[in-house]
Amino acid sequence: MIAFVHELRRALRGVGIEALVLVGAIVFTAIVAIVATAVM
Amino acid sequence: MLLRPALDDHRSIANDLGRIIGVLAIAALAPLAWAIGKGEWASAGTFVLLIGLTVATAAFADRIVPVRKRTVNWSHGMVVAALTWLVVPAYSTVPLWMSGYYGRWIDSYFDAMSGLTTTGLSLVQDVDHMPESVNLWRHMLQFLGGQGIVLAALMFLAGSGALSLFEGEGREHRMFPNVRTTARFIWMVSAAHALIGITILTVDGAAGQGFGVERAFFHAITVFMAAFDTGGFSPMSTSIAYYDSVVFEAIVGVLMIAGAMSFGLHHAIWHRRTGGGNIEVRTILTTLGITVGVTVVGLVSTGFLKDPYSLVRIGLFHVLSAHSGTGFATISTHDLASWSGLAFAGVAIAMALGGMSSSTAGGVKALRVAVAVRAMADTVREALLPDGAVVGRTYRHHGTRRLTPMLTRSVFAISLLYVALYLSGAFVALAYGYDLQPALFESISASAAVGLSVGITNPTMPVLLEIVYILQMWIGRLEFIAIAALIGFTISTAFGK
Repeated sequence: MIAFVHELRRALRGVGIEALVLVGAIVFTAIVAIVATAVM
Repeated sequence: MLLRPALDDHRSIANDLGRIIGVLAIAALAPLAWAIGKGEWASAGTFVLLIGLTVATAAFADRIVPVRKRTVNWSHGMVVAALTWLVVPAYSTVPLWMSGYYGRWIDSYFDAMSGLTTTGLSLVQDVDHMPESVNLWRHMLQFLGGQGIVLAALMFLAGSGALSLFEGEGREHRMFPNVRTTARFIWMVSAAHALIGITILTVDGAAGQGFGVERAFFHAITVFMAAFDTGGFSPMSTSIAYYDSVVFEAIVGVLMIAGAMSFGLHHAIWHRRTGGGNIEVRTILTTLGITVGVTVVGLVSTGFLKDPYSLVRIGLFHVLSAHSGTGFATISTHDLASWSGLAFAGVAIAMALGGMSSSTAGGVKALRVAVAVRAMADTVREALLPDGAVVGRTYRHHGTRRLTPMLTRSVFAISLLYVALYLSGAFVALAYGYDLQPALFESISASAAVGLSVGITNPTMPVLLEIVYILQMWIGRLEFIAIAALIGFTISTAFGK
């Protein structure tokens, strides 16, 4: 049980990093989109 | 001179194949239980039939095919891996074909191959009214294929040929010295993501979408399997557009990212060993940035999407879906087919490049792109430096590795084979009168195990083109080596002395 909780904590850290990548991608796309719509 | 394989070689291959087919019987228990729980008795009968057939095959392989002298080697592992991906879809068609939701048997085989290779192209008809147990089976095929049915079998029967079976599936990176412990870790990562992903999707479905808990759970479990295994099947015909929810799309986005990550990277993150840089991570982030940029500029220039909110929500989602090899969509195939110019190029290139090595994603893979770019850069540096100057040929990927000429040749050869595979399906579609852009798009989608469609894949498509896409999915999933081993084995059997 303790081992399972330990692994789950590790998995949560992994999901957190994956969510951060998504947030980064959203911010990057938003910047490109704003610049593209302003220029074109 | 070609050496004809001995009878024991064939018996050994049949034995391993039978055991792997036996794994299907265990997997089919879940949809059988679901069918009984939902009172879908006709579907339950088809799952009982499937279990009977697979158990009988496994028993036949184990007892009737005696292996006097077991000779499992690299070649056997590759042949078994290649045959697994041809034979398992055939068995998997039993519940699909008997459900009556496919026009032709080959359509159900197409869906089974698409599921097991985690592609996501589908020829199912009226999926919205399909029995839940059969729909669950469709999605489970992606989970089995993504996690590796061979890998599942390895957990139970790892032997001397385990490594070649592992590599035969197109997996290159072992996290542990033992393939069985590597297989266990891969399944543990999947189980942990399943627990987290299914819980969040169920809560969102019940609270945000207004589904009942049971319906929310069904959608959560099917969408999770399709997202994390970068499959792309959907329980509804309108894919993720059915939910029309930013929160749902964001959760799916996280799962798609997780699915496209190599299990080596999952291992590094779980054990806090992410420092030192990783050429594959840098490469995939760079190519994701470039393809997102190209697609967004293309969408603005063609006027398909004009406001930044839609560009982020629709543009990013589809590039992420393409690059991870998932194939989910939030717009119709008709709308996707209207994306032209840079928008088409951005999504098509993202599909062709694919995810990371040793992940469930398909395509050329980020590591090969990284090694190819590094090799080209080193060649240019060598040309610019004075004669006799030594260029350090190394790269960082879970430690420092040497960029050997053999590795470089292998990377360029596999990458070129992928380009040839992409073009082959496009040429066949062109021969049937389709335009170049949709022909190329659909061919890349099938070969790179993506599943985004611009409409060519439909129940009325030509059978020959359907067979070509089936072969593309099979070859693309196994990354050529196992196919070459199977062809060599067949030729040796036919013409060897």
